Amino acid sequence: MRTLLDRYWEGETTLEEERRIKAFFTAAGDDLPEEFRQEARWFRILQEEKSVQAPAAKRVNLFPRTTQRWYSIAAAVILLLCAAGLWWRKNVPEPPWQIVQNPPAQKNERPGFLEKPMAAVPENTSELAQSPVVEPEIRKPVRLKKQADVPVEDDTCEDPEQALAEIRAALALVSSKINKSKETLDKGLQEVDHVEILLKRKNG
Amino acid sequence: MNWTIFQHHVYPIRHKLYRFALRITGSIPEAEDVVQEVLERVWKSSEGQATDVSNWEAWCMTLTRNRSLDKLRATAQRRVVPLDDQAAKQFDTGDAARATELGDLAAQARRLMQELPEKQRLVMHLRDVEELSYEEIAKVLEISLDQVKVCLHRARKTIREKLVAVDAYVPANV
Repeated sequence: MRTLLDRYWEGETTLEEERRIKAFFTAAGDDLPEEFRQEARWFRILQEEKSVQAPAAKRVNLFPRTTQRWYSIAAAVILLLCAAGLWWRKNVPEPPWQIVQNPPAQKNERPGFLEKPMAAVPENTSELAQSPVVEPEIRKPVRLKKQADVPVEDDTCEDPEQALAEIRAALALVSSKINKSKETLDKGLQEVDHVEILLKRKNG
Repeated sequence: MNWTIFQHHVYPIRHKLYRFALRITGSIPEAEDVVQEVLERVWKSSEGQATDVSNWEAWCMTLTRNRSLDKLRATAQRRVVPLDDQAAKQFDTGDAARATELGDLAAQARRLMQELPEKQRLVMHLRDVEELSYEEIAKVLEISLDQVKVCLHRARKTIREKLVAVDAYVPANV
């Protein structure tokens, strides 16, 4: 062992020989001849140095912060758009040209329709022959500004049930988009948690 | 970075990285920061970069060395001697007397090693504490094999002389 130790101090030993020296001092403990006392202390110190461990890892955020920020911004924008859309539908009145073009249903009059109701048809055909012919007054179509530019649309939802179904479908679509973004974010966060759990397990 | 690679090749050597960073910086908080940054850097490395690495340990050790030296340069502390109480804290085994004794020994060892020139100190740490081969040490420190051998020889010689000098002040039963 003395020869081996001398070679060690000269820096001539192999890794295997150095392991043998360390094993020798570990096995011997305090029960060593006086000549090895100095080396024993040194190898004990090295052994203790090797036992130094890194403290428990701090939380490592493996999901890039910039990505998180973009997801948050996207989610906020979607929510804002949804809220604005709902508010608009509820509070903003229809444009005036649409109101004129779609008058109340009970009057049943649209530009170009007969304004006056037809006279009752007499039962007796002879009366019909004698009665003067009434020319129906034809109302000219109301031309409004922008009418040519704006595509004329019929009221798409006369039935309230159908309108509700349409709104629900639109909201479901928006919701699915939000959920998709949330799932991606959740997946990233789960990965972070998984890493953290494994790190904790490793740290024992 | 693939999770499997990280789990099997990188994460198990975190203690080794920490000891190496501690050896260079001589500061526990700095060493913790270095390890954290190196692990993050490795995790965020691209798949292409990850597949090019043949020796994860050597690569991580090199990153640790570079990051530690950057920190040292940033704080303008080329030579840092660790505080004794910090060293004692590292060896908290639950037994107060033994902890103090080991803390003293560790502090003593660190002091002896910290007094060595930087290259010798790092070569000695990588060989005697981490048990790396000459080739691995040369790769991590980016020096030649001959330089590694020369540095180790000089470092051991110096330490032996210092141990003899200290021996007079150390009780025989330690």
